[in-house]
Amino acid sequence: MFLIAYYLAILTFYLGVLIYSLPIPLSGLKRWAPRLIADAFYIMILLFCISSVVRFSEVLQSLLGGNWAFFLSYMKASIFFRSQLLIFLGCVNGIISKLKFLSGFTRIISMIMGSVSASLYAFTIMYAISTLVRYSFWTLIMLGLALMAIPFRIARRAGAFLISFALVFNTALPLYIPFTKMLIYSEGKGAETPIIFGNVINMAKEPLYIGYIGLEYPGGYVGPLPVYSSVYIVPVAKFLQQNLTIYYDVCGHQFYTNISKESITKLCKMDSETTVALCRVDMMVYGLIEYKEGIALHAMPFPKLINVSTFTSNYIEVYTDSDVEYGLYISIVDGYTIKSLRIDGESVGDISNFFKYKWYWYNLNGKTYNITIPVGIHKIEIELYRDANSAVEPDEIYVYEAQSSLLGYTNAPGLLDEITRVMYIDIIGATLYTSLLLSISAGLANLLGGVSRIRVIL
Amino acid sequence: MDIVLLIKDLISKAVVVAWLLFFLSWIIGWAIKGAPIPMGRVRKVGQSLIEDAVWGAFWIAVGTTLFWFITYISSYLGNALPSPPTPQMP
Repeated sequence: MFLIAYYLAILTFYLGVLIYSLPIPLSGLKRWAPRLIADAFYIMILLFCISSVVRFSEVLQSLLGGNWAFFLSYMKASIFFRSQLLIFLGCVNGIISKLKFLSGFTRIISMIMGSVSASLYAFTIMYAISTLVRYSFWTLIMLGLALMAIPFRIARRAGAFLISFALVFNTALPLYIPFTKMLIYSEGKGAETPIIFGNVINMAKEPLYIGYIGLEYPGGYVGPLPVYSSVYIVPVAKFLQQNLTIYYDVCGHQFYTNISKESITKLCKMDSETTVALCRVDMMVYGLIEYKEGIALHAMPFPKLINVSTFTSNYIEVYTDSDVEYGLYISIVDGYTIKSLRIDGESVGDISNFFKYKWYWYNLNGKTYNITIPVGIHKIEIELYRDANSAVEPDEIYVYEAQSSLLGYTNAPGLLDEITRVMYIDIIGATLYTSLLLSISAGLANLLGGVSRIRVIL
Repeated sequence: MDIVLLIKDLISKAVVVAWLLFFLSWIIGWAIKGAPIPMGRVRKVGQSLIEDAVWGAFWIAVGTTLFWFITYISSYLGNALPSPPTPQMP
């Protein structure tokens, strides 16, 4: 890109010379010659000074107190916190809408949810812009220079805008945090709630898309916390100094994960002075093959190779390969009954012979069946019947209780404070700041790409 | 074709064309200026053609030096640079 801009500038120069020596005495045409030559020198100087300009802007940024790493993790933490708040409010709304006598309250909640999701949008857009500017900064600058260097000022304005956009946003985006602090004084709960998040996989390294996790700490248990599309998000302000054990909490079983009696500060290598407490901890669940809508397949010991090709609430098809004999466990809530079970196409007979034990899981009851699968490659098919009227997932009230105990809002005013802050700062602040920066970039673009302002020579 | 090569190719072509055009407009300019036509306007056109041609020749000759100079100054400021191209002249 740099070379393209460089050679384009030289081309512009020689085109100017060519027009000079053209034997056509038209003053409109001839006027292009000094313009093109001047442009070429201007672009050349810009091209060679740009790294100095960028360095200067970085010095300016650090003088003003901006820090990209901090800013990016702040943005991420805010996004996660808002998603968490939305999930929580969704639970509240679901519970209240079931009560007949508080119908006005659901409207208030959905209004608040609207503003929180608007702030989530604003943050996501800003995060997208900042990653774009952060990771393709030089591409943007060089693309802008190349555009500016195209002869006859075809894309001069566009190039100038790209350059100034990259420069201004790269310098000023991390200053968003001081900017919001200037707008309103607040405790900044969003940034200071430590959050862990990550993917959830099983022992075959396949993602577990949905399910619930539970946290055990000395003196208590919090759960179920939902896992959506293999990602879990947990605010852990309460457990910073304690040893945590995380379970995958489905179908009355608490599956162990690789996080067992670990402290969050150690897991995250958290340095609370400089970074926002946000860290990614990926989680491997032991024993579980797949979970969906009240059906859990698990195995003991875990087979060498396992491939779930179909997993619906009516039909499950699994291919396995194992060097040793192992037990396949099928845990289903009482809303399901197993119609038939076939191994390599042969029915195993009456399913109640394989019944192992009963369990309860929050508000649901269920059963576990255990089948021994011999050595080798096998195809296992399970046909199920689902009773449409009975629930297969734990009630929202349990999720709500777990969430609210994690967020630590013991009083409603605290929550309301936070929500007003979110509404005011995030929606107004993020848009205001972005548009401010855009107008600065437009001004700088005018300065860089203006036709009449800068004349280097001639 | 690589775009840098394409532009380099265009540069050398532009230089060649500019040199030839310089000769052409130099000759045309003198021809018009020296023509036995007693009209001031026509002579002035010839004069301006010669002037422009001289400017063009000047910039071709000086251009490479100026680019080198810009490169030199900016390398003094601590930037990494490619060497300036030397377009071939006929």
